[in-house]
Amino acid sequence: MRNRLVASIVALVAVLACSSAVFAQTPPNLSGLWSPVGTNTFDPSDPGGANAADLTKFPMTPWGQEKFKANRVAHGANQQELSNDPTNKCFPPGAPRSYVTPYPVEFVQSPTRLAMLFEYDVVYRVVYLDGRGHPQDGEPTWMGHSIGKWEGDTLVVHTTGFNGKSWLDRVGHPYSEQLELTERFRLVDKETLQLDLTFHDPKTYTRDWTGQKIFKLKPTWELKEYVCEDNYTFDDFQTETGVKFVP
Amino acid sequence: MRSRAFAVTTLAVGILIVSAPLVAHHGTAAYDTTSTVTVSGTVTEFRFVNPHVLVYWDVKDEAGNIQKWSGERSGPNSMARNAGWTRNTLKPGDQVTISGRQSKNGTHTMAISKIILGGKDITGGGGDN
Repeated sequence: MRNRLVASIVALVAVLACSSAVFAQTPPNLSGLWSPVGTNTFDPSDPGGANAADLTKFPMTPWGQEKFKANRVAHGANQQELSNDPTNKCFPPGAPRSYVTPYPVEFVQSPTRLAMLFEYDVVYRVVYLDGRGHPQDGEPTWMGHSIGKWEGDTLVVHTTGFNGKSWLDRVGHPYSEQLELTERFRLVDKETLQLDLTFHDPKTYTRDWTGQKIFKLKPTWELKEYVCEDNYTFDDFQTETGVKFVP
Repeated sequence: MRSRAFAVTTLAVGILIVSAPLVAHHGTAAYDTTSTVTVSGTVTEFRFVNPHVLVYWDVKDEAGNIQKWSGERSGPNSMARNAGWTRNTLKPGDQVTISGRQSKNGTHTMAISKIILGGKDITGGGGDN
Protein backbone atom coordinates (compact mmCIF):
# COMPACT_ATOMS: atom_id res chain seq x y z
CA MET A 1 0.00 0.00 0.00
CA ARG A 2 2.76 2.32 1.03
CA ASN A 3 4.79 1.45 -2.06
CA ARG A 4 1.77 2.19 -4.16
CA LEU A 5 1.36 5.60 -2.54
CA VAL A 6 5.03 6.39 -3.10
CA ALA A 7 4.73 5.27 -6.69
CA SER A 8 1.73 7.51 -7.19
CA ILE A 9 3.49 10.48 -5.68
CA VAL A 10 6.54 9.85 -7.83
CA ALA A 11 4.32 9.60 -10.91
CA LEU A 12 2.48 12.81 -9.99
CA VAL A 13 5.74 14.67 -9.43
CA ALA A 14 7.02 13.38 -12.76
CA VAL A 15 3.90 14.60 -14.56
CA LEU A 16 4.09 18.01 -12.90
CA ALA A 17 7.78 18.25 -13.69
CA CYS A 18 7.10 17.44 -17.32
CA SER A 19 4.21 19.90 -17.65
CA SER A 20 6.16 22.68 -15.96
CA ALA A 21 8.98 21.89 -18.36
CA VAL A 22 6.50 22.37 -21.18
CA PHE A 23 5.32 25.68 -19.75
CA ALA A 24 8.87 26.82 -19.22
CA GLN A 25 9.84 25.86 -22.76
CA THR A 26 11.71 28.57 -24.56
CA PRO A 27 9.50 30.18 -27.20
CA PRO A 28 10.55 29.91 -30.84
CA ASN A 29 13.18 32.37 -31.99
CA LEU A 30 12.02 34.40 -34.98
CA SER A 31 15.38 36.14 -35.42
CA GLY A 32 16.68 36.23 -38.95
CA LEU A 33 16.52 38.09 -42.23
CA TRP A 34 13.11 37.50 -43.78
CA SER A 35 12.06 38.27 -47.33
CA PRO A 36 8.33 38.78 -47.94
CA VAL A 37 6.70 36.73 -50.69
CA GLY A 38 4.68 39.00 -52.95
CA THR A 39 5.04 42.75 -52.81
CA ASN A 40 1.61 44.34 -53.09
CA THR A 41 -1.07 42.77 -50.91
CA PHE A 42 -1.87 40.68 -47.84
CA ASP A 43 -3.88 38.32 -50.06
CA PRO A 44 -1.67 35.47 -51.39
CA SER A 45 -4.45 34.55 -53.85
CA ASP A 46 -4.36 38.05 -55.37
CA PRO A 47 -0.75 39.29 -55.27
CA GLY A 48 -1.46 42.00 -57.86
CA GLY A 49 -4.45 43.43 -56.05
CA ALA A 50 -6.84 42.96 -58.99
CA ASN A 51 -9.69 42.47 -56.49
CA ALA A 52 -8.71 45.34 -54.21
CA ALA A 53 -12.09 47.03 -54.71
CA ASP A 54 -14.10 43.90 -53.82
CA LEU A 55 -16.28 45.00 -50.90
CA THR A 56 -17.05 41.41 -49.92
CA LYS A 57 -13.35 40.91 -49.20
CA PHE A 58 -12.62 44.45 -48.02
CA PRO A 59 -15.87 45.64 -46.38
CA MET A 60 -15.24 49.37 -46.50
CA THR A 61 -17.56 51.88 -44.86
CA PRO A 62 -18.68 54.85 -47.01
CA TRP A 63 -15.85 56.83 -45.40
CA GLY A 64 -13.42 54.01 -46.25
CA GLN A 65 -14.66 53.78 -49.83
CA GLU A 66 -14.19 57.49 -50.32
CA LYS A 67 -10.61 57.27 -49.08
CA PHE A 68 -9.95 54.17 -51.23
CA LYS A 69 -11.24 55.86 -54.40
CA ALA A 70 -8.93 58.81 -53.81
CA ASN A 71 -5.89 56.52 -53.60
CA ARG A 72 -4.23 56.27 -57.01
CA VAL A 73 -1.92 53.27 -56.75
CA ALA A 74 1.54 52.93 -58.30
CA HIS A 75 1.76 49.13 -58.15
CA GLY A 76 -0.11 45.99 -59.06
CA ALA A 77 -3.01 45.30 -61.36
CA ASN A 78 -4.67 48.73 -61.09
CA GLN A 79 -1.59 50.92 -61.19
CA GLN A 80 -1.95 54.45 -62.52
CA GLU A 81 0.57 56.69 -64.18
CA LEU A 82 0.13 59.62 -61.80
CA SER A 83 0.05 57.95 -58.42
CA ASN A 84 -0.48 59.67 -55.08
CA ASP A 85 1.06 56.81 -53.11
CA PRO A 86 2.35 58.50 -49.94
CA THR A 87 5.63 56.57 -50.13
CA ASN A 88 6.34 58.20 -53.50
CA LYS A 89 6.87 61.38 -51.51
CA CYS A 90 8.94 59.45 -48.97
CA PHE A 91 6.36 59.36 -46.23
CA PRO A 92 7.06 56.24 -44.13
CA PRO A 93 5.13 53.11 -45.09
CA GLY A 94 4.30 52.51 -41.42
CA ALA A 95 2.93 49.23 -40.08
CA PRO A 96 1.80 46.94 -41.55
CA ARG A 97 2.72 48.27 -44.99
CA SER A 98 6.42 47.87 -44.23
CA TYR A 99 5.88 44.14 -44.91
CA VAL A 100 4.44 44.84 -48.37
CA THR A 101 7.61 45.94 -50.12
CA PRO A 102 10.09 44.00 -52.22
CA TYR A 103 12.66 44.46 -49.44
CA PRO A 104 13.52 42.21 -46.49
CA VAL A 105 13.19 42.74 -42.75
CA GLU A 106 15.57 41.56 -40.02
CA PHE A 107 13.93 40.23 -36.86
CA VAL A 108 16.01 40.43 -33.68
CA GLN A 109 14.35 38.71 -30.76
CA SER A 110 15.19 38.87 -27.06
CA PRO A 111 13.10 37.57 -24.15
CA THR A 112 11.52 41.04 -23.74
CA ARG A 113 11.60 42.55 -27.24
CA LEU A 114 11.13 41.73 -30.90
CA ALA A 115 12.85 44.35 -33.02
CA MET A 116 12.02 44.56 -36.72
CA LEU A 117 14.63 46.32 -38.84
CA PHE A 118 13.13 47.14 -42.21
CA GLU A 119 15.45 47.61 -45.18
CA TYR A 120 12.99 49.88 -46.95
CA ASP A 121 13.66 53.40 -45.76
CA VAL A 122 15.79 52.19 -42.82
CA VAL A 123 12.88 52.16 -40.36
CA TYR A 124 12.37 49.96 -37.33
CA ARG A 125 9.54 48.70 -35.15
CA VAL A 126 9.72 47.31 -31.60
CA VAL A 127 7.24 44.80 -30.15
CA TYR A 128 7.33 44.66 -26.33
CA LEU A 129 7.18 41.10 -24.98
CA ASP A 130 7.59 41.98 -21.29
CA GLY A 131 3.91 42.06 -20.36
CA ARG A 132 3.39 45.81 -20.43
CA GLY A 133 0.17 47.30 -21.80
CA HIS A 134 -0.44 50.06 -24.32
CA PRO A 135 0.17 53.62 -23.13
CA GLN A 136 -2.79 55.80 -22.22
CA ASP A 137 -3.25 58.79 -24.54
CA GLY A 138 -0.15 57.89 -26.54
CA GLU A 139 0.69 60.07 -29.52
CA PRO A 140 -0.55 58.45 -32.77
CA THR A 141 2.36 57.23 -34.91
CA TRP A 142 3.14 55.57 -38.25
CA MET A 143 4.12 52.26 -36.58
CA GLY A 144 1.70 52.40 -33.64
CA HIS A 145 2.47 50.81 -30.26
CA SER A 146 2.98 47.04 -30.25
CA ILE A 147 2.83 44.47 -27.47
CA GLY A 148 3.13 40.72 -27.90
CA LYS A 149 2.77 37.45 -26.04
CA TRP A 150 3.35 33.81 -26.88
CA GLU A 151 0.42 31.47 -27.29
CA GLY A 152 2.18 28.13 -27.66
CA ASP A 153 4.36 28.40 -30.74
CA THR A 154 2.57 31.52 -32.00
CA LEU A 155 3.55 35.10 -31.20
CA VAL A 156 0.44 37.25 -30.99
CA VAL A 157 1.11 40.97 -31.43
CA HIS A 158 -1.45 43.68 -30.79
CA THR A 159 -0.89 47.18 -32.10
CA THR A 160 -2.83 50.41 -31.55
CA GLY A 161 -2.02 54.10 -31.73
CA PHE A 162 -1.82 54.44 -35.50
CA ASN A 163 -1.94 57.85 -37.15
CA GLY A 164 -3.87 56.54 -40.18
CA LYS A 165 -1.69 58.44 -42.66
CA SER A 166 -0.31 55.57 -44.76
CA TRP A 167 -2.00 52.75 -46.69
CA LEU A 168 -2.36 49.22 -45.34
CA ASP A 169 -0.82 47.76 -48.48
CA ARG A 170 0.49 48.79 -51.88
CA VAL A 171 -2.93 48.64 -53.52
CA GLY A 172 -4.44 51.54 -51.62
CA HIS A 173 -6.49 50.05 -48.78
CA PRO A 174 -7.02 52.85 -46.30
CA TYR A 175 -7.13 52.83 -42.52
CA SER A 176 -7.84 55.29 -39.74
CA GLU A 177 -6.47 56.13 -36.31
CA GLN A 178 -9.03 53.60 -35.01
CA LEU A 179 -7.09 50.67 -36.47
CA GLU A 180 -6.28 47.83 -34.11
CA LEU A 181 -3.98 45.31 -35.72
CA THR A 182 -3.55 41.75 -34.49
CA GLU A 183 -0.66 39.76 -35.95
CA ARG A 184 -0.01 36.07 -35.39
CA PHE A 185 3.53 34.93 -36.24
CA ARG A 186 4.33 31.23 -36.56
CA LEU A 187 7.31 29.36 -37.97
CA VAL A 188 5.93 26.88 -40.49
CA ASP A 189 9.41 25.40 -40.84
CA LYS A 190 12.95 26.66 -40.27
CA GLU A 191 12.86 28.77 -43.43
CA THR A 192 9.22 29.87 -43.56
CA LEU A 193 7.43 32.36 -41.35
CA GLN A 194 3.67 32.76 -41.63
CA LEU A 195 2.00 35.97 -40.52
CA ASP A 196 -1.77 36.14 -40.21
CA LEU A 197 -3.21 39.63 -39.74
CA THR A 198 -6.61 40.77 -38.51
CA PHE A 199 -7.66 44.33 -39.26
CA HIS A 200 -10.15 45.93 -36.86
CA ASP A 201 -10.97 49.48 -37.90
CA PRO A 202 -14.67 50.36 -37.48
CA LYS A 203 -14.22 53.80 -39.04
CA THR A 204 -12.91 52.30 -42.29
CA TYR A 205 -14.36 48.76 -42.40
CA THR A 206 -17.81 47.45 -41.43
CA ARG A 207 -16.32 44.24 -40.02
CA ASP A 208 -12.92 42.76 -39.23
CA TRP A 209 -11.06 41.18 -42.14
CA THR A 210 -7.92 39.10 -42.38
CA GLY A 211 -4.78 38.93 -44.45
CA GLN A 212 -1.67 36.82 -44.69
CA LYS A 213 2.00 37.27 -45.52
CA ILE A 214 4.59 34.54 -45.96
CA PHE A 215 8.28 35.27 -45.38
CA LYS A 216 11.28 33.21 -46.50
CA LEU A 217 14.50 33.12 -44.46
CA LYS A 218 17.54 34.50 -46.33
CA PRO A 219 20.52 33.36 -44.22
CA THR A 220 23.11 34.54 -46.74
CA TRP A 221 21.74 38.06 -47.16
CA GLU A 222 22.65 41.15 -45.22
CA LEU A 223 20.45 44.19 -44.78
CA LYS A 224 21.26 46.77 -47.38
CA GLU A 225 20.44 50.45 -47.27
CA TYR A 226 17.38 51.92 -48.96
CA VAL A 227 16.91 55.58 -48.19
CA CYS A 228 13.83 56.97 -49.88
CA GLU A 229 15.23 60.45 -50.25
CA ASP A 230 17.87 58.96 -52.58
CA ASN A 231 15.01 58.44 -54.98
CA TYR A 232 15.01 62.14 -55.70
CA THR A 233 18.01 61.46 -57.93
CA PHE A 234 15.40 59.72 -60.02
CA ASP A 235 13.88 63.13 -60.71
CA ASP A 236 16.76 63.71 -63.13
CA PHE A 237 15.74 60.62 -65.04
CA GLN A 238 12.15 61.81 -65.18
CA THR A 239 13.22 65.24 -66.35
CA GLU A 240 15.53 63.80 -68.99
CA THR A 241 12.98 61.35 -70.34
CA GLY A 242 9.63 63.01 -69.71
CA VAL A 243 8.51 59.79 -67.99
CA LYS A 244 6.46 60.78 -64.95
CA PHE A 245 5.76 58.42 -62.08
CA VAL A 246 4.63 60.88 -59.43
CA PRO A 247 2.37 63.95 -59.59
CA MET B 1 -3.17 27.61 -85.81
CA ARG B 2 -5.19 27.82 -82.71
CA SER B 3 -2.42 26.20 -80.68
CA ARG B 4 0.03 28.65 -82.21
CA ALA B 5 -2.11 31.58 -81.06
CA PHE B 6 -2.31 29.94 -77.68
CA ALA B 7 1.45 29.51 -77.59
CA VAL B 8 2.00 33.17 -78.48
CA THR B 9 -0.49 34.24 -75.82
CA THR B 10 1.16 31.97 -73.28
CA LEU B 11 4.55 33.41 -74.17
CA ALA B 12 3.25 36.96 -73.86
CA VAL B 13 1.68 36.23 -70.49
CA GLY B 14 4.91 34.52 -69.45
CA ILE B 15 6.91 37.59 -70.40
CA LEU B 16 4.54 39.80 -68.43
CA ILE B 17 4.85 37.55 -65.37
CA VAL B 18 8.63 37.39 -65.65
CA SER B 19 8.78 41.16 -66.05
CA ALA B 20 6.59 41.78 -62.99
CA PRO B 21 9.55 41.87 -60.58
CA LEU B 22 10.72 44.97 -62.41
CA VAL B 23 7.98 46.82 -60.63
CA ALA B 24 9.64 47.98 -57.48
CA HIS B 25 9.16 51.55 -56.33
CA HIS B 26 6.82 52.69 -59.06
CA GLY B 27 4.90 50.59 -61.51
CA THR B 28 5.24 50.16 -65.24
CA ALA B 29 2.17 52.24 -66.08
CA ALA B 30 4.35 54.71 -67.96
CA TYR B 31 5.56 51.99 -70.35
CA ASP B 32 3.95 50.17 -73.25
CA THR B 33 3.91 46.62 -71.87
CA THR B 34 2.33 45.17 -75.01
CA SER B 35 5.54 45.09 -77.03
CA THR B 36 9.30 44.82 -76.61
CA VAL B 37 11.96 46.85 -78.38
CA THR B 38 15.62 45.91 -78.74
CA VAL B 39 18.43 48.38 -79.44
CA SER B 40 22.21 48.04 -79.48
CA GLY B 41 24.71 50.73 -78.66
CA THR B 42 27.42 52.10 -76.39
CA VAL B 43 26.96 52.77 -72.68
CA THR B 44 27.50 56.41 -71.74
CA GLU B 45 26.49 56.28 -68.09
CA PHE B 46 25.40 53.79 -65.41
CA ARG B 47 23.75 54.86 -62.16
CA PHE B 48 23.47 52.20 -59.44
CA VAL B 49 20.73 54.07 -57.56
CA ASN B 50 17.41 53.56 -55.82
CA PRO B 51 14.67 53.03 -56.60
CA HIS B 52 15.87 51.52 -59.91
CA VAL B 53 19.27 51.27 -61.55
CA LEU B 54 19.60 53.49 -64.63
CA VAL B 55 21.44 52.81 -67.87
CA TYR B 56 22.19 55.43 -70.53
CA TRP B 57 23.46 54.44 -73.96
CA ASP B 58 23.95 55.84 -77.46
CA VAL B 59 22.47 54.11 -80.49
CA LYS B 60 23.43 54.87 -84.09
CA ASP B 61 20.45 54.92 -86.46
CA GLU B 62 20.63 53.90 -90.14
CA ALA B 63 21.62 57.41 -91.17
CA GLY B 64 24.48 57.39 -88.68
CA ASN B 65 22.79 59.79 -86.28
CA ILE B 66 23.13 59.20 -82.55
CA GLN B 67 19.97 58.42 -80.60
CA LYS B 68 20.18 58.86 -76.83
CA TRP B 69 18.53 55.97 -74.97
CA SER B 70 17.97 55.40 -71.27
CA GLY B 71 16.34 52.68 -69.22
CA GLU B 72 15.63 51.39 -65.74
CA ARG B 73 15.91 47.96 -64.21
CA SER B 74 15.15 46.67 -60.66
CA GLY B 75 16.57 48.35 -57.57
CA PRO B 76 20.31 48.06 -56.82
CA ASN B 77 19.76 45.92 -53.70
CA SER B 78 17.76 43.45 -55.75
CA MET B 79 20.20 43.47 -58.67
CA ALA B 80 23.10 42.83 -56.27
CA ARG B 81 21.36 39.93 -54.50
CA ASN B 82 19.76 38.25 -57.47
CA ALA B 83 22.08 39.06 -60.35
CA GLY B 84 25.40 39.92 -58.68
CA TRP B 85 25.43 43.44 -60.07
CA THR B 86 27.67 46.14 -58.61
CA ARG B 87 28.13 49.82 -59.36
CA ASN B 88 30.85 48.70 -61.82
CA THR B 89 28.78 46.17 -63.78
CA LEU B 90 28.44 48.65 -66.66
CA LYS B 91 30.80 51.44 -67.62
CA PRO B 92 31.00 54.01 -70.39
CA GLY B 93 32.17 52.45 -73.65
CA ASP B 94 30.60 49.05 -73.02
CA GLN B 95 28.83 47.59 -76.07
CA VAL B 96 25.34 46.47 -75.10
CA THR B 97 22.15 45.11 -76.62
CA ILE B 98 19.20 46.06 -74.48
CA SER B 99 15.55 45.00 -74.71
CA GLY B 100 12.56 46.36 -72.86
CA ARG B 101 9.21 48.13 -72.91
CA GLN B 102 9.41 51.59 -74.36
CA SER B 103 7.88 54.66 -72.77
CA LYS B 104 4.31 55.38 -73.87
CA ASN B 105 5.30 59.00 -74.49
CA GLY B 106 7.50 57.82 -77.39
CA THR B 107 10.82 58.97 -75.97
CA HIS B 108 13.82 56.64 -76.13
CA THR B 109 13.27 55.32 -72.63
CA MET B 110 12.47 51.81 -71.50
CA ALA B 111 11.84 49.45 -68.64
CA ILE B 112 14.73 47.08 -69.30
CA SER B 113 13.98 43.36 -69.47
CA LYS B 114 17.24 42.05 -70.95
CA ILE B 115 20.84 43.23 -71.24
CA ILE B 116 23.52 41.55 -73.33
CA LEU B 117 27.05 42.75 -72.53
CA GLY B 118 29.91 41.48 -74.69
CA GLY B 119 27.73 38.62 -75.95
CA LYS B 120 26.82 37.58 -72.40
CA ASP B 121 23.35 37.88 -70.87
CA ILE B 122 23.83 39.79 -67.61
CA THR B 123 20.14 40.44 -67.01
CA GLY B 124 19.93 38.18 -63.97
CA GLY B 125 16.82 36.94 -62.30
CA GLY B 126 15.64 40.27 -60.99
CA GLY B 127 13.52 38.53 -58.42
CA ASP B 128 11.17 39.89 -55.81
CA ASN B 129 13.83 41.96 -54.16
